[in-house]
Amino acid sequence: MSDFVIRASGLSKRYKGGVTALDGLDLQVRRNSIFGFLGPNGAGKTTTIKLLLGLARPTAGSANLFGFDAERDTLEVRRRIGYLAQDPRYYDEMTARQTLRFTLKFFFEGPRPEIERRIEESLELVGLSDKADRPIRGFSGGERQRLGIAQAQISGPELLILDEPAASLDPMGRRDVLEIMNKLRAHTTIFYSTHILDDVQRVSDTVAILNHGKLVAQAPIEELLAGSGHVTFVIDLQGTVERVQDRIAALSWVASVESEAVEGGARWAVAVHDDALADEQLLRLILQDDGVRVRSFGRRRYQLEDVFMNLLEGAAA
Amino acid sequence: MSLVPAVASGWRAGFGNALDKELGSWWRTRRWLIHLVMWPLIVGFFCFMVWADDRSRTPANGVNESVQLFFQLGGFFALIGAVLVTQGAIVGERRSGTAAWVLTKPLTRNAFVLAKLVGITFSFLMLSLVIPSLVWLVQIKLQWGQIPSLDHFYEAVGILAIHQFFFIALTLTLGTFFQHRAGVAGAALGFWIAGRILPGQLPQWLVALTPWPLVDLAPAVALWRPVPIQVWIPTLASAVLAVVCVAIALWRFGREEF
Repeated sequence: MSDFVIRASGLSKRYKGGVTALDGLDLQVRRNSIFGFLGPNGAGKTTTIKLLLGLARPTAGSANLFGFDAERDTLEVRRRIGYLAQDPRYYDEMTARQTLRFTLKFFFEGPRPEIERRIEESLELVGLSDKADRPIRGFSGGERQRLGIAQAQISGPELLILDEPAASLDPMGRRDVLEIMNKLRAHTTIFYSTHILDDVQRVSDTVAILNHGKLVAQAPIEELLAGSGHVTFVIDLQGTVERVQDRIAALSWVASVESEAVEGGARWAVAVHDDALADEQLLRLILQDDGVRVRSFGRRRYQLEDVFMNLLEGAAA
Repeated sequence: MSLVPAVASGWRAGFGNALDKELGSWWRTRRWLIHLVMWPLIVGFFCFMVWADDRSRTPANGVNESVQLFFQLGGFFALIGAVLVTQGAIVGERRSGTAAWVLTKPLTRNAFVLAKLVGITFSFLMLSLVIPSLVWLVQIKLQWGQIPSLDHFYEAVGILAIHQFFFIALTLTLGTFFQHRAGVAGAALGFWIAGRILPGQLPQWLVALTPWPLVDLAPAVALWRPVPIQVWIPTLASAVLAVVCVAIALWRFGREEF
């Protein structure tokens, strides 16, 4: 069994009229990961998902899911996938329970009590048990989204593809959706697109960033947040810091020391060549000077937003 | 016993479930009741008017006029009904996004289209033709004390069913090309209107290869009157054209991108 559930190679989609929605995407999604597929609106995220699901055909390249070609073996692929659309639409005259029954019967057959048990579990998971028998036409956006997650996971898919699962939700709804995703991660791989960076940072373990149809970066989230180049330590100090600054800057494993004045002291950004050595010695070396007090010390941790903006600006330059 | 993976493969994957949903939209909602009341009422009303208009005519004449009316009304109102109930089957789902949703499940595109064709054809023909014909026979028996020959009558009902089936297939096919219901309905009804205008200007052999003569042939068959052309030619031609329409619909929908 391959470690990867999705492998896309040179995947491209060019629409009539010359619009290139996706341009040579290479992507690998590891089994049992929560893979955040990130990009601004119009980056090509939904197009990628449609190509994976066989709803559209690539103009070049190919995608392979579970060893099956997304275009040629689309039925085999769809047997293994649960999907939530960006703006989920159902048959409005159906109730949530009927919708789940309809969905489940595409995947499984068997005794009715077993089918109903699976439906009850899914309704409970997304907190829709009390609305199970109401027609969907009366559902709010959040309830539709919950139903969307329920119908996506009811077949116990090997891969869940969620297109902007939290985009239309209020903060409470978003929190609930992320909690559900966390519950599901034990059983399945989750590939989800979003432009909400906070959500990605909270739940993803791997991230790909797409812009103008091109892949800008793909890496484990910790790697992205650590930034590229030198590891940087951020230190807040009080006292007479100039003399210490010169001493630290002169160390062979220190690349640079940038200082800025902050209220009641200074903030240093110390870039180092050897982070292990810095972990061990940097704070101790600073404190050797009696005139200096350290208020805080730690590695700089980038926010995903910084990384995202830097990458997009870098790609545009 | 636990759940097992659905076994249908090839084009049939998902067909049973999709058909069950289509039939459910007719028979598990109030839709069937509306049609069940509407069609016998339309036909029954006009046949009652024939009876009420002149009760002095002979029962045989009364039955003949009622038969004529049944098939003409069936060919007109039920045809419009067939177009109206089918016009949104593909377009509506494409525009609402439900087609894209359901096609992310293990359902083939052929199964999606064929489930609609079978579901609509069966339900609509039952509710607009088969059940009203039974109600109509009872009404005619009560009004005139006799009914037409059942063999010939149901032979004619079969011809009308082929006519309706053709228009359902045509409308479904148009739904795979057009983006709006109005275009679908307009083109389907336009084809029917053309059948009222063009036959006099076209060679008879060509007209015989269309469904256009069927509405006029059906009452003649029911009353066992001489007909100008072999009945089986337009009947078979209509069935073949319906199958061609379905083949085109499957080809077109298979190329659709969402």
